[in-house]
Amino acid sequence: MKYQLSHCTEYRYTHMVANSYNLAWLTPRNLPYQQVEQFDLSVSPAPSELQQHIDSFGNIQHFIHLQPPHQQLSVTARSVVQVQARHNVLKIRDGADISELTHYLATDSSSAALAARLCLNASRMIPLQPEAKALILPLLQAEKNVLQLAQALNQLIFKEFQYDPEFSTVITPISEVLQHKRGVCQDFAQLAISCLRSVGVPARYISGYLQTRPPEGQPRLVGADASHAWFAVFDPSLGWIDFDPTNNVLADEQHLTLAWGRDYADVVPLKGVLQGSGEHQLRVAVDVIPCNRTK
Amino acid sequence: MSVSVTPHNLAEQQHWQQLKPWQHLQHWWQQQSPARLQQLQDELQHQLRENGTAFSPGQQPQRQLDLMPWLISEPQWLQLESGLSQRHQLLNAILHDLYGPQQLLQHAIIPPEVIFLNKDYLLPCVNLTGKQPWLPMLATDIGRNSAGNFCAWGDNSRLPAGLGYVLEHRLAFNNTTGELNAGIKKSQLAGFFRRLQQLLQQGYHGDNRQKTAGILTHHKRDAAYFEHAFLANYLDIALVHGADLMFKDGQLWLKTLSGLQPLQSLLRYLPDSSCDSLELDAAGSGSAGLLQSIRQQQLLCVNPPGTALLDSGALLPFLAPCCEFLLQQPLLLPTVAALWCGDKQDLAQLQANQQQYCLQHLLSGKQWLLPQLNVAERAALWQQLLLQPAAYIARQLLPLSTLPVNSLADSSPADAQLPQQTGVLRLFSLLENQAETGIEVHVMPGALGRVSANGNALQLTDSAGFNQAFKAKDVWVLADKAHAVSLLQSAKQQVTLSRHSGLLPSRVADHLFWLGRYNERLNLICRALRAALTLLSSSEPATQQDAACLLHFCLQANGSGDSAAPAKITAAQVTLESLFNTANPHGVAAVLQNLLFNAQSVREYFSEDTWYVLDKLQTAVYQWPALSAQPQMATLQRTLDEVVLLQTAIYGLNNETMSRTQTLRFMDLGQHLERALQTCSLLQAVFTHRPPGDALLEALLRLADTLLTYRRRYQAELYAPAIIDLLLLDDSTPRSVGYQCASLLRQTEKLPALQAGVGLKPGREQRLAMELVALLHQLDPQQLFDSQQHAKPDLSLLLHQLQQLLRQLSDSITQSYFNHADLSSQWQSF
Repeated sequence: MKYQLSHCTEYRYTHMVANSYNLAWLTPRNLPYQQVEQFDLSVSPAPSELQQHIDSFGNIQHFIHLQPPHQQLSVTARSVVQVQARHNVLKIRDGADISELTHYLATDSSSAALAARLCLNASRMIPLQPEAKALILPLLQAEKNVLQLAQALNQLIFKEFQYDPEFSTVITPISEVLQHKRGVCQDFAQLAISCLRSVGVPARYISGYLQTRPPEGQPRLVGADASHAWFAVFDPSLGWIDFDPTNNVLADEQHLTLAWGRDYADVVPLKGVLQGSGEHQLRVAVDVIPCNRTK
Repeated sequence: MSVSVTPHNLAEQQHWQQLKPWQHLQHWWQQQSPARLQQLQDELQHQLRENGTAFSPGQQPQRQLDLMPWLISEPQWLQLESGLSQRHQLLNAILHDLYGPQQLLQHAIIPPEVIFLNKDYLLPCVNLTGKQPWLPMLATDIGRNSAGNFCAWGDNSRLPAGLGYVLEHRLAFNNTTGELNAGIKKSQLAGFFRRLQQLLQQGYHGDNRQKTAGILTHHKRDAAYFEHAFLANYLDIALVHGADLMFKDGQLWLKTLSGLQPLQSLLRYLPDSSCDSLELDAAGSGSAGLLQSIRQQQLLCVNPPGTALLDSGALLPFLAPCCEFLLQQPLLLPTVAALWCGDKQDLAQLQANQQQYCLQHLLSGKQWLLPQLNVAERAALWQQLLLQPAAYIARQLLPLSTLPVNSLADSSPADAQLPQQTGVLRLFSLLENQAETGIEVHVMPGALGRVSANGNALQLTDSAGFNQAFKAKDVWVLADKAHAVSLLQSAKQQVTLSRHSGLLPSRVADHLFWLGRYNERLNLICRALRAALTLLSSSEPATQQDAACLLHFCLQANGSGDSAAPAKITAAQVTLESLFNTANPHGVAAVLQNLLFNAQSVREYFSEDTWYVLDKLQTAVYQWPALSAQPQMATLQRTLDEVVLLQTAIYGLNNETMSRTQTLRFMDLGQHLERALQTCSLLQAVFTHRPPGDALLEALLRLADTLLTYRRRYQAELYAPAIIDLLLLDDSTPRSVGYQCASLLRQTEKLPALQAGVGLKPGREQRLAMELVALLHQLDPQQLFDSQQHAKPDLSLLLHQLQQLLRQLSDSITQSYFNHADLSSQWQSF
């Protein structure tokens, strides 16, 4: 499936601000199941500096500096992305046993294994909480297969946690998500990661988008009009398999991958510091439109 | 008095006994009387710049320099030098690998958990330096192991890590112990400092035209800060805070009075994670864009953020195999035995020998000296460790060698042996990637020696510097062919990055301006208080009432905002107490504190004599008369006299020693502005409430140092309009408001021009100063008084108007020169 993607972030400040420095993870990744055919990042007012480099996870990271005083900032990423079906549903039953995975992680030090071992520990935004471990332990009784365990967790979060965009703005501490049993896609992804890591399963955070308009006859997926997030679990022979707990599905042809890291903080779509005081208003608009439908 | 070393074996004993310098040292020492040794020890201590400067009364002194140097023989040195060169190269290569291809992890030479669980492994720093060295400079802690060999036990990548102390110690010895010095040929340190200076001046591009180097320091006024100021002065580089920096056009710039100056290198002291508020810790006090400027190879950071991974000690258990793997060489300098608790065998070994280890937690950076814990504490710690053993490293505590220390009491018998204490060395090395020769390491032939009665406590790693008091030794590397270059000569020969006025950071100008203001405020309060105390001692009730006027002025001079009518005599005692109360934020002590804060913040701009006077002022604060008991008038008077004298000395010294004209200008502006403002307020207190008595008028003239001038002009008669003329209008009286306004006009004309095309000519500051001068020019003092010589409301109005204009001028200077943008300089993340 080919998509036209646009992600616009707009800040309006109550007072003039100057020297705004920003980092953006807004460029979709090139992957075996995803090709970026076009990409364009436009910043208004015109940036004093726009640089890019590859971060430690292989994501493209932009550095944006706006020096002159301004009262409004908009950053728009536009791209054309081709996404293929991954057919991961069929592979799940071939997933490794927990014990196999544990053995692999303890003995292998290939670069793939290192990437997995990096995502085994607590990170800044994902502490390993006993409550999270308590959530996944009952599942562990029934599922010895790592991917089936992840799928069961995916389902559990979907069923027991309420999707509530009013509850949190962008991101909520996992303890609060657990306490109130509600949150948004970023929260669910981080919660799942916390659960999996606490039982020794490497898990990472994926930032991306969902197709905005559903194919005919199918319901519109939740979280489609903004940035989306999900998680991936590592299997020694299958690699990373993506799960979307907000929709209780495996990430597939409707999921567009931007960037991944240990948690949200590693791949915030746009963050920054600036000189000035006062409040700001934020407006984000995301459009993911299949190309053949725009004609 | 005799001196001996405790050698590790007979051979070493013989080696030392045959060494001429050691014989000289022993001989010299035996010849000195205990009193002479004590005198030399005191002189040495006095040479330390921050001596006497404490930051709270309980804190001093930070550091004591021992009169007995630590000698290192040539064979010992050659061994250390080659070992350190290799080790520095190795650590540089390890950083390149761990922040790059991670071959060490893939080949299982270092377990990944050691790195991934380490709070000091910073992912944003991956591939940060490209092909440039990761570790341009390193400070290595070294002790002797049980076999008597030198053994590295700690690394410090956060600089200067005591480098400034080494320099200071050597200079102190050079100035103090002539004969001792002359008889012992030793390697000089100047070459190393020159190399460091060149490294910083050249940056990445070797082009040092109009570019700047700096030490990135923190805001705390602690011992480390003084080291930085000292080193910045010696190397002739700027001392900068995060707030002085700004990223633009791919590089960092230093904000100065005349605009932005490109910055090419930084000696970094700020903790790794607080260096860049954008990419690292958002609450950090560094500068957004610092990482980006390193990435774009526009900033040579010594050392780049991410190197604290070494300081964590996490790599110590793996250095020998890393050396074989990366350099294909055996490790030359032994490393302290270290264990990784994630390894079962290592864990068992630690459990069996807990008493011998220092334990470190990689996630938090905490460390514990296990022999100092009791059984229960150790058990609790062990439980905690078992939850995640992979996050712990244990380092064996070295037995260390002992050295003689000069600390005998006067009463000791003449043939007493000097006591022995254990010691550790901190050595410094530079690593450069030369185009022709590849990587070169230069080790400074000298070191920071630290000794203590408790050898274990010495072996705690301390990346923050030395905020614990310690006993230091200057380390002399013996050399037959000692180089003739002396450190002092070399200081004159250095290629200078001239710190012309344009390089004055705005923050510094801000501190100097306020230093001028607080110094003057303090001066006037103290003068008025002295005058008031004299009036209070009079038996005349009316005169006592006059004193209340002056007390009222003092009370509101530091912004208490209390503009009620002057206090009654009965309240005089209360007012005095309030003014002298150290807890009163508007009291005299508070003004003094503010003055010292601003002075300390820019201490590197003052001559050593000025530092000395500031130290004395500081001492005066700590010896402030206690008010619990009935304050003795005489004690108060003495304190005030001393403070006035000392701060007058500050002005005198600065006028003589501060060559940087813009520097002095901002302090001058502050002084004149404050004097004008306070004099208006003083005149208001004296004239506008009730007609002043003769005693008060005389006190006023005396406190303004104008009594003699007045008598020359008007003989004995005290005539209010004449006094107003002298203190308000006359622009030839150095304490009159008119004189201050004329000076302000002169100084504002010379303020540096801001960006071309911005602002009209004359600038706003100059226009305000002109307005002030004009206002005073058109006045006739007679018009301000009625026929009874009582002040008309016009006088009060005029004084009020003058104060308004002066405040506007102060605000305008602040806005134009210190804030740099017309925007608040507050940072926020979003």
